[in-house]
Formats: sequence, structure tokens, C-alpha cells
Amino acid sequence: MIEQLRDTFGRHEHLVPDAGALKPVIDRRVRIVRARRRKAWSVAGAFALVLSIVAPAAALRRLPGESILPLTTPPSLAPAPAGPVNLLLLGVDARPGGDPAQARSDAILIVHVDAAHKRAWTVSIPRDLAVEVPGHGLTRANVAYLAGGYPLAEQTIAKLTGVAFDAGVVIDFNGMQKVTEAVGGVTMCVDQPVTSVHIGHDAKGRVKPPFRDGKPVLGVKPVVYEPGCRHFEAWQALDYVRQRSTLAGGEQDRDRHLRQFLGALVKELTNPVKLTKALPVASAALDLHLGGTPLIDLATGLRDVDPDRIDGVRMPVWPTKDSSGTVQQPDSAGLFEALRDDTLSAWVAAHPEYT
Amino acid sequence: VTYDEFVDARLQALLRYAVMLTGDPHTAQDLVQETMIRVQLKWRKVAASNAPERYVRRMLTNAYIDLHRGSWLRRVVLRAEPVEPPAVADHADAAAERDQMWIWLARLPRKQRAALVLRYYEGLSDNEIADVLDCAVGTVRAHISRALATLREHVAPATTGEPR
Repeated sequence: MIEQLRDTFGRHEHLVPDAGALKPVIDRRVRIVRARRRKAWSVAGAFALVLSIVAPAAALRRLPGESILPLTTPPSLAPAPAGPVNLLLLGVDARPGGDPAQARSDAILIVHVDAAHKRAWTVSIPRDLAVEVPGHGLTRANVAYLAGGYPLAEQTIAKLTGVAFDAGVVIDFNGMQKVTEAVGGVTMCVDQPVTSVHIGHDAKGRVKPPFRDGKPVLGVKPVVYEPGCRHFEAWQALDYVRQRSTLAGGEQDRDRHLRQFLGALVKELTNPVKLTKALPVASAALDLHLGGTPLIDLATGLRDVDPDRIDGVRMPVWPTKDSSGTVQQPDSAGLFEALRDDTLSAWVAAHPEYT
Repeated sequence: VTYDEFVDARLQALLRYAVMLTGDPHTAQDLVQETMIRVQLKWRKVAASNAPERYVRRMLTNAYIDLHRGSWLRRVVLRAEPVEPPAVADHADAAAERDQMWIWLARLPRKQRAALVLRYYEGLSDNEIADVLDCAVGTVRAHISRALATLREHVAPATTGEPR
């Protein structure tokens, strides 16, 4: 019987498919899965912005005794750096358990603080902008972080804009989620009905994804964010700002929501109680790249920025027809020049369509 | 071991194993494909276990056991059963009996079939099989003896085989 069994197995070995043909199929599917997962984490840039501006600044301004910063000089005596400040903020999609070598910067933001250190602007660089990455030719902007980490990403954006960065901040999704939870959510104003493709409820109230492979799932009602201002729990806020495919303006609308979310989070963090809760979480979540700038100088340079006067700017771009990426519009040269010359307020006044 | 090295060395063997489990090349290929996608996505965890091969064989076996019951696979196998007994001829008889073995293998409960394949095709010890199926060694022996009993009851011994 056992011989017969062994013989039966052996006789059916001719059915075995060829492994050589299967390997590329597996690799291709893995690339698709990874691309899908990356989209979810693009909100990360939001936090990089808020934390880099608000945490150090507010720490000095409101809680000098409890500051997380290594204070050697009383802040009031520290000389503020002269001139405008430029920061590069990267939201990356690295996740716990994920391969850090596979991380890309899914959100790229420049924070520009004017010479008086009163106003700030956030400029979003589209992650699929076609740029010259040193050593890698013309490719998407988010490839730079994957290929060379923060240094190459900074080099790439500096080369694109001509801006010299005083410091950089990298944050991942996990850190961002924890900080929103720490402040207990945010207040935001919804400008168009937004249907979530990620969170829905079935008839019994259980949480289920309302869409699978782009098709609605029967019996699951997606969460819809109706126009108007209200408080968002952390999960709602994150879900709202990550929606892209159901928006009329697609990625541009998503980036605008992201900048609105930043502003909302800044306002929450001006509450000292909430800030105290967020600071330990934030200091663990951030990866700071200070270059030659001492953190204390950076913080003193930012402490007077008014949270109500942080404005978002989108970079003037055209999407390419074949969705292979995004290219610069001639207007972007003017934007970069304004960044270098600290004349952003005049440029924004002349180009209100990009705010 | 890198993922590529592992695939180059083991993918063909995994496909063979999957065919013996499922009895069908297409289902086997789907099973291996879905498993290897997960393996590649979590490769660091797989590589960190001291025996990636064992880890992946466990994943594949679990995926097989969890395949939906009453899938098209079973229906196909049932339809493949010869409606009439084959014409009586010594050589044809032996072939039909071996096919009969293949058909009855497909009707076995999946854990029993997996235990048979692991012992008589992959050549694992009972201890190793218990590790793959995540059960006690006694349970492995029970699976195998029940499976063999079923086969003995329904499959005529091969004419060329030794009498039991």
C-alpha cells in the first residue's frame, strides 16, 4: 500500500508547474501590494511640519521649565539666527516590521519662516514630481529618499529649488498616529463631502472596509465626512486626510486637506496641557537632521511664529497625460525665487490660486 | 539567506509539494504564489526564524488546510472519476488503480492528506510533521493510520505490488 502510494506521488510529478515562470509573477504582485500600501502612509508629512515648528517653539515659549530641549542658555538670552529659516520635512512610509530600506518619502514639504520669524509657509512638493536626483537621473522626487536617505533627499530638493536648508525632519506614519491620539483629535472644516474608501460600517455597526479592489462591498456603508466644521477623533482625522481617490481634485485636494490638518494640529498644540502630552510622543517619533544648526538656535528662531499665520502653498505643476508623474509649471521658478529671497508673502499675494 | 537565494533553491520543491497536497497544478500554483507573496513581504521575519524552509512549508500547509471546503477543486476531482469501470486488461487495470489512489487521496480530510504527503513524499519524521501541522506526534500517527485505512478500504492493491 505504501509503495503504491509513493508510486502514485512519483507518477504525478509531471503535473508540477515550472518555478522559473512563477517567480516573476510573484515579484510583480509584490510590487503592486507594496505600491498600494505606500499610498496609505502619505499623510506622514503633516506631522513632520507641525512637530518641527510647534514642539520646539512652544516648548521654549510656554514651558521653559519642562522643555525637552537640552537648554544650556536661557532661551531669552539665546541669539535668534538672523534671516529666514528653511526646513525640509519628509513623511516616509516606513512602518514597524517593514523594511526600512524600502521607505520612500511620500510627503515632501518645505517650511519657510520669514526673516522676522513671525510668519511661516508650507510648500508641498508633489511626491511624483519629475526631478533630477543626483546620481539617479530624472525620476520621481520620492525616489531620492529610497535611494539615499535623508541626505540625498535634501540634496535633490535643494538642487531643485536653490534653497539651502537649515534642518530637516523625518517622521513615519506610526509616530504621526500616536501624536494625534496624544492631543485627543483636532477640529477641522470639511469643504466638500468626502467618502472614505478605507473605513465603513456594516448593518451591525462593525468596522469594515467599504471598498475592495475599487469595488463597493455589499452591505458596508462607508464613512462620509460632510461639509462643515467639527471635532475629529484621531482615527477620523487620519482617515479624512488620507482620502484621495473620491475627491474632485484628487491629489491636489488631498494635499490641501493635509495642510489644513497641519494648521488644525498646530492650534491643538498651543494648548499647554495637550502639548505636554504630545511632547514625549513627538520626541520619540521624530528623526531630526540638524546639519550644523544647533537645535536651540532653530527653536529660538521659530518660537515667535504665530500659529494662525502659517499658510499652505502648493507648487505649480502639471500632471503628465500618461500619469507617469508630474512636471513643473513655469510659475514654479517664481515660487522658488521667492523662497530664496524671502519674498513669499508678495508671491502668494500675486498668485492666490496656489494657496 | 536572501529572498532570491531562497526562491532559486526552494521554489520548485515547494511547487512539487503543493501539487502533491492539492492534486491539481493550477490550485498548487495559486497556493504557492499567494504564499510566496506573503513570504517576500515579510521576508525579514521569515529569515529571522532559524529555518526559513520549515517556516514557509508551514505557511503553505496552513494555506492548503484553510482552502475553502467544497471548492471547485473537489468538484473537478469528483467529475474526473471514471463513470464506468475501465475495460479489464492487466496493464490498464494497474493504471486505473493508481488513478484510483490519486482520486481517493483527494477525498481524504486535508490534514490526513498533508500528513501522508509529508511522510511518504517529503520523507519527514513524525516529529517534523507534528511541527508542520502544529499538533502532537500522536495526532500525526492517527492521521496517517486513518488515511491509510481509508485508502486500503477503497483502493485495490496494485497487481504488481506486494501482498499485504
